[in-house]
Amino acid sequence: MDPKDYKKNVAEYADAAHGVVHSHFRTYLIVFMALLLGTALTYTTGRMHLGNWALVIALVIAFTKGTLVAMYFMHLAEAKGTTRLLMGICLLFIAVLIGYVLGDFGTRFRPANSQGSKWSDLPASSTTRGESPDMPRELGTTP
Amino acid sequence: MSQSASSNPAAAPAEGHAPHKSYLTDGTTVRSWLLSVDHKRIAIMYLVLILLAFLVGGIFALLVRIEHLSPGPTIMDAMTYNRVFTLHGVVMVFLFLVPAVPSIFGNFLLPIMVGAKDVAFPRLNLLSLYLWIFGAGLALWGMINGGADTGWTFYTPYSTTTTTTVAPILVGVFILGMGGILTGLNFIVTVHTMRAPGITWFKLPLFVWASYGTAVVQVLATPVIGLVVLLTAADNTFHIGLFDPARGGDPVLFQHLFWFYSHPAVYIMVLPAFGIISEVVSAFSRKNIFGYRMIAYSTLGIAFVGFFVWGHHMFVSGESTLDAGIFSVITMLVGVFTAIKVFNWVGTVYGGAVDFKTPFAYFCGFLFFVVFGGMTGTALGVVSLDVHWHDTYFVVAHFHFIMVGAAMMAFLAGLHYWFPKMFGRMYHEGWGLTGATLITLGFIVTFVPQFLAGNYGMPRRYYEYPEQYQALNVISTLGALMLFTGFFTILCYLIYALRHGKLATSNPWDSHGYEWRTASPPTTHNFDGPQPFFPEEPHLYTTKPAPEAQHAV
Amino acid sequence: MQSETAAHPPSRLAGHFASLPVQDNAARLGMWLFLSTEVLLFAGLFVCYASYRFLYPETWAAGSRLLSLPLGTINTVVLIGSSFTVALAVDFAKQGKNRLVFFMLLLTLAAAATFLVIKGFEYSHKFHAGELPGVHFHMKETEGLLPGMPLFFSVYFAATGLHALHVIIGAGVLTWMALKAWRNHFSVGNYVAMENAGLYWHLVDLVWIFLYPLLYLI
Repeated sequence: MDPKDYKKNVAEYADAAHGVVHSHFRTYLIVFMALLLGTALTYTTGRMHLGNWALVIALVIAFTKGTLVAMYFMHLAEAKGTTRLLMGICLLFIAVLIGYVLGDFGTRFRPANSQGSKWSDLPASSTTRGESPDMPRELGTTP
Repeated sequence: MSQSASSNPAAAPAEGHAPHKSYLTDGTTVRSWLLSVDHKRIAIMYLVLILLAFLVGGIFALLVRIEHLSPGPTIMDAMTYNRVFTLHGVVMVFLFLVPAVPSIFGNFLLPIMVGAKDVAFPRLNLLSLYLWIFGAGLALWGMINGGADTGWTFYTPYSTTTTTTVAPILVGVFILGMGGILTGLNFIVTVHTMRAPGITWFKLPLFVWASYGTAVVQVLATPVIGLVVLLTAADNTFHIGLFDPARGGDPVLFQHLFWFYSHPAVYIMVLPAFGIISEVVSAFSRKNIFGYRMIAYSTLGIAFVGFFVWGHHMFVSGESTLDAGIFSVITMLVGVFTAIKVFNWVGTVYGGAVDFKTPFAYFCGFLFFVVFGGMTGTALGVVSLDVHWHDTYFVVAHFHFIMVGAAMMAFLAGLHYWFPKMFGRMYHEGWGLTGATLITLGFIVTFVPQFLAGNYGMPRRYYEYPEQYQALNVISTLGALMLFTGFFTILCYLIYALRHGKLATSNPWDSHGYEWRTASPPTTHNFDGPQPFFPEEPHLYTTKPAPEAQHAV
Repeated sequence: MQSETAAHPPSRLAGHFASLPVQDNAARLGMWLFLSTEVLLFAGLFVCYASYRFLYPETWAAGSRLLSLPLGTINTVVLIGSSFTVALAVDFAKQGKNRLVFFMLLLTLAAAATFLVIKGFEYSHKFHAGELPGVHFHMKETEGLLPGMPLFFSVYFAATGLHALHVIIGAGVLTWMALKAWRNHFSVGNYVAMENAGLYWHLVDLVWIFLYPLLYLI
C-alpha cells in the first residue's frame, strides 16, 4: 500500500475516533436534485422528434447522471487512483468492444449482414419480422 | 523482523520439533481440509481436483487420437466423436488450463511471495474452490447426460439448436468463471494491500507480476463470457433468439463477445506460465533475472494488448476486411511483448552456471515450444495466410504448442520446482529427467505432424479424413501415447515421492526466491512472528553484475 | 504499522492484515473490482443493444414506443430516490447513527419493492401482448412487425431481467445491512460493510440510468 494513502487513512481513522465525521447530506441532496432534473430533461427531450440528435442527447444526459452517481454517491471523486483507473479501463473496453463490432457491421460485405437490416440489401424473411413461428429446426440430431 | 529461515536450511520440515506445525499436519481431519481457509490447503485441494480434470481431458484427447488412427470409423461413431472432442476442449480449457496455475501455484505461493499470512479474502478463496467444484460437476453432469457436440467454442446458431445437452455445460462454465473472478480479485487485492514492508512493486517476484497480470485479465474478461454463455444457455433452453439469424440476429456478434473473453483467456493460461518460467530460469541459472522491469512491463503489455486482438479468430466468419486488417496488425504486438520475454530468459541463461535439474529441462522444452507456437501464431495472425489455415490442423497444432507446449510444460516445471516447497519431500531426479524427456519428445511427435497435416489442408473437428493424411495421423497418435506414458511416469514417481521421497531441506535448490525463506512445507501462517521484511530483490544471486562477456557458455 | 491497531478493538482485525485501515481498504478495492466485473457483465448486453440498434434503427425506435414510458420514468425516479437514501444510510453509518441507517434502509427496500412490482406489471402486460423474445414473439398489431422486432424484446427482457435480478440481490444485501443496523453494529470507523453494500446498490441504479433512456426513450 502506498504510504501516502496509508497516512491519509490513518488520519481519517484518527478523526473518526474523535467523532469528527463530516456529513455529506448537502452534497447528496444537491446530487439527488440534479439527478431528478436530468430525468425530467431526458424525458422531455426524448418525446421531441429530434432524429439522430435524440440518441446523442439521451446519452449525454445519461453519462452526466452516471458520472454524478459515480463521483458523489459512490465517492469515486475522492477514491484512490487504482479505483479510478479500473473504471476508466472498463469504459475503454466497452467503447472498444462497441466500436469494433459496429465497425464490423458497417464495413463488412453487405450480404453478410442480417437480412432486412439497414446494412443489408436483402429483404427480411418472415421470421425476422416475427411472423408465424416457423417449423422447429432439427439440427444436431444423431445421424 | 527479518526471516531467519533461509539461514537455517536444516530446519526439519514435516515431523521436526519446530514450534509451529507445517500446514500439512496442522489438523488432519477431513473437515479441517474441506473447510480450511488456509490458502495453501486450498491450493492442494485445487491441485488434486485439477489434476483429476486433466486426467479426464487427457483420456478424451487420447480417444480422439485413437479414432484418427484410420481414415474411416475406428473405435466410435461420428456423434460420439463430436462429443469426445468437445469434452476434451471444455475440460482442458475451463477445468484445467484456465484455473491450473493461478489456483494451484498462485494460491500457494502468491501470499508467501509477498510476505503475507494469507490472501486478502480467505473465505472467498474457499468459495471459489467450491464454485469450481460445483461448476465442474454441472459441466460434467451435462457431458454424461447427453454431452455437447458443439466444440468448446459453442458457436451459435448451432449451439442454440443442437439437441445435445449444451445448457448445463454453459451454466457450468458461468459458475467456473465466477470462481475464477474471485481468485483473480483476491490476488489483485492481496498484491495491492498486503505486501510485506520492503516489497515495493518492483521488488515483487516475477511470478507475482505474472499472477497479477493474469488476475487483471481474469477479472475484466470473464464477465463478458459469463453473459454470453448465459444468453446462449437461455437461447438453447427458452429460444430467446438473440443470436439467431432466423430472427434477425447476428451469429458473428456471438463470436465477437465470445472471443472478447476467450482470446484474453489465452493469456490467462500462458501469463502465469511465463511467471513460473521466469522464476525457474533465474533459480537454475544461478543468475539475476535479465531485464526484470522489461519482463514485468511486458506482462502488463500482453495483458492489455490481449484485449484488442480478439477479431483474429473471425477472419473467415464474415467479419469486415477493415476490422480484420486492424486486428491483424494489433496481433503482431503480442508477438513483440512475448519476444521481449523470450530474449530476457535467454539472456538470463547466458553466462549463468546452469544447474540442469528437472524444472530446467522443462524450461528448455518450453522455450522451443513457445517460440515455435508464437511464430506460427503471428503467421496465423496474417489475414491472407489465415484464410488457408483457418480451421485446419495447423491451427490445432499452433494452439496446442501454446496451451500444452508452453502452459503445460511450465506447469510441470513449477510442479517440480515447488514440489519440495509444497510437500517437504524430494522426487527422484533421474525419473524427473526421464519424464521431462518423454513429455518433450512425445509432444514434438504429436504436434509437428499436425502442422504438416493442417498445411496440406486437413480440417479440424472432422470425423473422417482422406487416406493421404493417415501416415501423419498415425505418427501423431503414437506421439500422444508417448505423452500419456510421460504423464503416467510423472504421476507414479510424484505419488511415490509423497510418501517415500527423501525429506527436503527448506531450500533444496538453494534458490533466492522469497518463497524459499520460510520452512518447506510452510507453517500454517507462512511466517512465524510478525510480517517478514525482505530487504533485497527477489532474483538476486550476484550483487554486482558479473562480467559476462568473458566467460560465455 | 503495529501501533495503530492498538487503538481499535482487536476483534474486527483479521490476523493476516497489517492494520484496520489496510483491511478496510482491501475490502473497498475488492468491492470496486467486483463492481468492474458487473459493469463488464452488463457491457455485453449494451453491445448487443448497440449492434441491433445499428442494424435495425427504425425497429428500435418503434420498439421503444411499445414500452410504457410512464412506468419506466416512475421506476427511474424510484431508483434514483433509493440511491439517495442508500447514500444517506452510508453517511449515517459513518457517524454511527444506527437508527437512522435502519430507517434509510427501510425506505430503500420499499423503493426496491416498488420497482419490482412496477416491473412485474410491465412484464405481465408484455406477456399478454405477445411482445416476447425470439420464437415466443407473436404480436397481433401489424404495424409493429418490422424486421428485427423479436430481437428488440430479446434485448429488452435480457437487460431488464438481469437488472431486476441485481435489484433482488441488492435488496437482499441491504436487508442484511438493515439487520446489522438494527443490532447497532455500525460505529464510527466501522462501516465498511455498509459502504460496500451501498456501492453495489449505486451500481444497480447506474445501470438503470443507462437502460432507461436507451430502452424507453429513443
